[in-house]
Amino acid sequence: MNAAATVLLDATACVIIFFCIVLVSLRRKSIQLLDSSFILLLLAMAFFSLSNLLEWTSISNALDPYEDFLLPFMWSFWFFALLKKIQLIELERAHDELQISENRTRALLENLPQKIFLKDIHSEYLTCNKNFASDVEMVPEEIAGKTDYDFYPAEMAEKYRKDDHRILESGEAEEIEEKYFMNHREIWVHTVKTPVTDENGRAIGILGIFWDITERKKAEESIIRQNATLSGILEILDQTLTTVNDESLGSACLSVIEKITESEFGFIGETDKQKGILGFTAIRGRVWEACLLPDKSGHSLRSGEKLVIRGLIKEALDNKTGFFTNDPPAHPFATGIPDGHPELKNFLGVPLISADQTIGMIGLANRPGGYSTQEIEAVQAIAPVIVKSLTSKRAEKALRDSEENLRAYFNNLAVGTAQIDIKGHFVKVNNRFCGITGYSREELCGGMSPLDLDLPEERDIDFERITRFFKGEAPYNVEKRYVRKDGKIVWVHVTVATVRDDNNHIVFTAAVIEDITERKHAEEALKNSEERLRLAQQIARMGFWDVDMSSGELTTSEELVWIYGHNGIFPKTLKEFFDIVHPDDIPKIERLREEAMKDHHPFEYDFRIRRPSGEIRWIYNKGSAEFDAKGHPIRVFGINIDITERKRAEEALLANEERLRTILNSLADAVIATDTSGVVKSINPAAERLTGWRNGQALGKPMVEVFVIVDSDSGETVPDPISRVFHTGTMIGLASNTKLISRDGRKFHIADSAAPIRDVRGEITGVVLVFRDVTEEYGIREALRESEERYRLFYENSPFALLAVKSNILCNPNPSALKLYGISAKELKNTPPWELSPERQPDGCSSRDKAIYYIKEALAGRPQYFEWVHQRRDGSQFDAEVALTRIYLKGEPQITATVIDITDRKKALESLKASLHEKETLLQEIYHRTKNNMMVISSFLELQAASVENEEVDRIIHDSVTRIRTMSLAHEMLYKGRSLSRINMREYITDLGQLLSTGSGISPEQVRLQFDIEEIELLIDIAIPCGLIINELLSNCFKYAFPDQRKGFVAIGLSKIGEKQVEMSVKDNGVGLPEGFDIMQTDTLGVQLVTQIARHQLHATISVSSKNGLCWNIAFREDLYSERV
Amino acid sequence: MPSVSSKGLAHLLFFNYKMVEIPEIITLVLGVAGLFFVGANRQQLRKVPFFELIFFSYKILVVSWLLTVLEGFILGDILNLLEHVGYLLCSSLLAVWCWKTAFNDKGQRKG
Repeated sequence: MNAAATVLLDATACVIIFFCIVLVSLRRKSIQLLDSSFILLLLAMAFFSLSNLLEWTSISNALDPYEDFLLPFMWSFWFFALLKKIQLIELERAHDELQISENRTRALLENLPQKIFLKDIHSEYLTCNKNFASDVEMVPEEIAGKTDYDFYPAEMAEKYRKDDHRILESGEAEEIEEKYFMNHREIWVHTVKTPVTDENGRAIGILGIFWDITERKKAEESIIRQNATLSGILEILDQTLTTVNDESLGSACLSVIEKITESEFGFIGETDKQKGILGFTAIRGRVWEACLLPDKSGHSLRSGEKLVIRGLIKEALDNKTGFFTNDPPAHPFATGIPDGHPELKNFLGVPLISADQTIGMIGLANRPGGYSTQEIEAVQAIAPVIVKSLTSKRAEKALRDSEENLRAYFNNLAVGTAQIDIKGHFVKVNNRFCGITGYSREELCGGMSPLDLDLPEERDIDFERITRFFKGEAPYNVEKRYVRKDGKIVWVHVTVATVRDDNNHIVFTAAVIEDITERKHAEEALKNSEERLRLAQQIARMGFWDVDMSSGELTTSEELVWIYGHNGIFPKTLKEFFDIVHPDDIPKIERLREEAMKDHHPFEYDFRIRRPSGEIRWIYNKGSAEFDAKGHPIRVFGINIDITERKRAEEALLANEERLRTILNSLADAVIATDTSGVVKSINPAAERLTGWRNGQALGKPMVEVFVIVDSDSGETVPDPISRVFHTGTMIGLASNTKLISRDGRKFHIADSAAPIRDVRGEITGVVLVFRDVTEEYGIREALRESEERYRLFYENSPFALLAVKSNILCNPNPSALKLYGISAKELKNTPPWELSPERQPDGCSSRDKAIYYIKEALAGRPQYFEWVHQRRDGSQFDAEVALTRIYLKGEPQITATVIDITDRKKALESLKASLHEKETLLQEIYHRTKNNMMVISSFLELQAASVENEEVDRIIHDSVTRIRTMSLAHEMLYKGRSLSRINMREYITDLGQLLSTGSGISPEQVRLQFDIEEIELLIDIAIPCGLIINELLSNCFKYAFPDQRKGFVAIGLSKIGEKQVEMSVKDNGVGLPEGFDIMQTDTLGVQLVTQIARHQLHATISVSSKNGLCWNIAFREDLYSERV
Repeated sequence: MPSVSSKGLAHLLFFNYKMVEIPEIITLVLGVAGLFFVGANRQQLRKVPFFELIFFSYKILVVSWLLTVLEGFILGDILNLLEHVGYLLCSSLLAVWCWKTAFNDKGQRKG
């Protein structure tokens, strides 16, 4: 199957290849890239496929050896052939494109208006375009190999050759504008020569392009001429502006024309056609100098001279366009030249025309080379300008003259006038304007505006007014105030008008001001006067009325209407008048009016009216009448004054007086008022009581009579306080020790003050005296003063240093303090306590800290008492006892310090301590010696006992020794103990028990001692008896309570059983007492000693019990004896 | 589908091969060299109308030569079949190119 498929595939491929061969053969011309190589490839492919087919069909393997390398070779060969074919095609295409490009370039060159050529480095032409070739009358193909010498004159050709060499050497392109003559015609060309280089940058030729610029050059020359003409015109215009008159201007114009036309000389003349003469406006040059009058008296041709119109001049004037001749003598109209006139080589004349009328001419002569149309055109162009300039200059002069006249008129106007530009600045002002405003013309026209003259507060209003004026809303015709330069105000009447151009645009504004200050002042004065009058009437509420009795016409002022409050309507008839008068007042009014009419005298009265609102008003009416010869009233007139307020004030015053009187009468203080002469005008009840004068009695009396005061200390009369008030004009007070003596002789200590009574103008109209009884207060004050005096004396004379401490600062020292510290009051000021102390106190604490602590504690209300080491300024120290106590002064807490120098006391104490110590030592020595002596005695006794054979004696001695030792032990404890008078009973009894136990010969195991003793210290006077009792009782126990080696215990106790009550007990559990034995009745020494000592020395109560042994209880007081040491 | 035993498949895959043919190797090397030549001058050869068609055809031919070599080692029958399929494709593409070139001038480069 594989082989079959292979065969099928190969066969198909073979068929396809053969199809390709057929196709290529048929369409060979259509396939551009097909060539023999592709045919070979197809054949190779066919061979290959056929070989495979034959092989796989097993027909033949003959072709197999040739197939292997054939196909890759053929494919590669075809690819190579394709590559070469493509390169060839591209080369052909590039060649075609180059040819096209060359054709285009040539067409471009041929059609360019410029002339283009190409030379080699030897300046031989290589090629050129048609324009160039036609320029030298050749065809482009003939130009190759030619040089410039073949076309141009030798000098031109040489120049071109040098240009070529220079360009080749420099390697830079050059642009040249040059002219040459061709066929007797001037030709200007613009040439651009560029070196041509090969790819190595080496010059191989020159490319030249040139074109004809003759027309451009002519245009440029024309422009230059026109420019010169325009420059001339500008110069003439400039001269028009700068020259002062028409003669100078004419001379300047002539100069310009001569310069433009390069003429030697010339003139400008104006014709007088009626007279047929020409007057010279300007004439210059040699003509002026050489041409003299025949009589040599002066120049015949000068500015202002006249010349008869004829010859060439007439021709020029008649010819509207002007003319020129380069051969004047030969001209048919030539009439010759004046004597002395320079030779006329050529002449040019152009008329001056204004409004189609010839008004003059310009004459020029002797231009080198003669005149042409160009010169005449230039002069024709300038001539109208000259006409205009001369006309303007003359108009200007006329205007200037007119302006001068106007300015003189303007400056001398009686009213102030000003011209203001559209920006609002003064441009022009006249003298009167300066006079009114006080500013100079330079100041006003130097940037000031009318608003600058306004009052600052009126500027905004004026600006608004000006704005409305310019908008056409309102005219500007006002009376206002200006501020002059000197600050004065001036009233002016200002009228403003605008000057507009043809387009109705404002050119400037004209202002006319008139000084109306005097008129304004008069108006103001009149107005003020009227206003004052009106105000006076208004304030006084006064109005006038006037009745014409013949017509009955009533004339009233506005104020009258206001007074009557009838809304502008005043009663017109008497009836209407009485309708508003209070009914109670009508009879009075009628009566008074009739009396006045009858007696012909003025009348006045008060009456009431009722206003429409119901309000009652008081009116004061005063009037009079005028009578005719028959006595009939012809006019009655008068004034009405509204006196309601006055009436109310009077009522209020009365009420006020009543109220004041009530207050005065109610006052606890006495009040007396006098007039300026010191006469009593009023006195209140309190004053009546103190002075003893009743109100009716005192009024009208001199003050010194009613108010009698003396000095309470001296009894002398005190100066009158009323007089002092009048003298000083101020309020005064009396001395605190003033005593008032009443009319009935009673005396009161008083405190008083006197003050002036002033009226509304501040003038004194009297004196008011206010005083009160301070007798009781005086007594208290005296007591207080005495107390203060006592305290002061105590403070100053105290032997102790007294100071105050305020804010940790010492102050208010008494003399003892200053003496103690050895310091002055000034030095003590602002000194803290620790600065009068050593740095540290004996306990090592800082004096400052400790002092602050004590002060703080004292300020907290805890009084401090302590000892303090002080240090004076001289460094010496002393001990002091200090007490700090808080007090309040004016509500403020401060510390009072009391310092007592205890140096001496300290020394005495030290001495006492030393003495005591000495005595204690001595006492201890005594006790010690006593004990030693007792021990010696007991030793002697024991020695003695050793030599005694009698047991009884021996026992007695032994007991005595024991007792002595008991006392010795007490002394021993005294000198060894802390106290020399008291013995610690626990130690004493314990030691004593042990001593006795040891001395008894009984072992502790047999009889055990027990101690129940409280910590009690007793005086030796009690301790020794106690010791002796215990000695006796223990000795008895050891001897008798435990016979036959009986074991037991002995308990000794000492305890407090009540206040100052002590109980001592000795108990054993021995054999006890026999039945019925009363130990208190026994006569043994020991028992007797116990009972005797207990009763006589201790005043003790003794109780003995014999239950389970023997128990002794002895109770005694511990304060039987006082301490002696 | 006829069943094929694993032994038979292994024989088909790995043992049914012929010896290495030196001429086939040389042909392949020359073909690959041709590929390199075309690759090196591809920029210019791209100007040939429908060149990518030709180049693709040639690449198929080179692959066929590769398969010829490989069939001596592995999968002889299959690769052989594929080789001849490649020859057919190559011929077909070449025919297509001829047809397109002969009857369609859109691929012609305009001068």
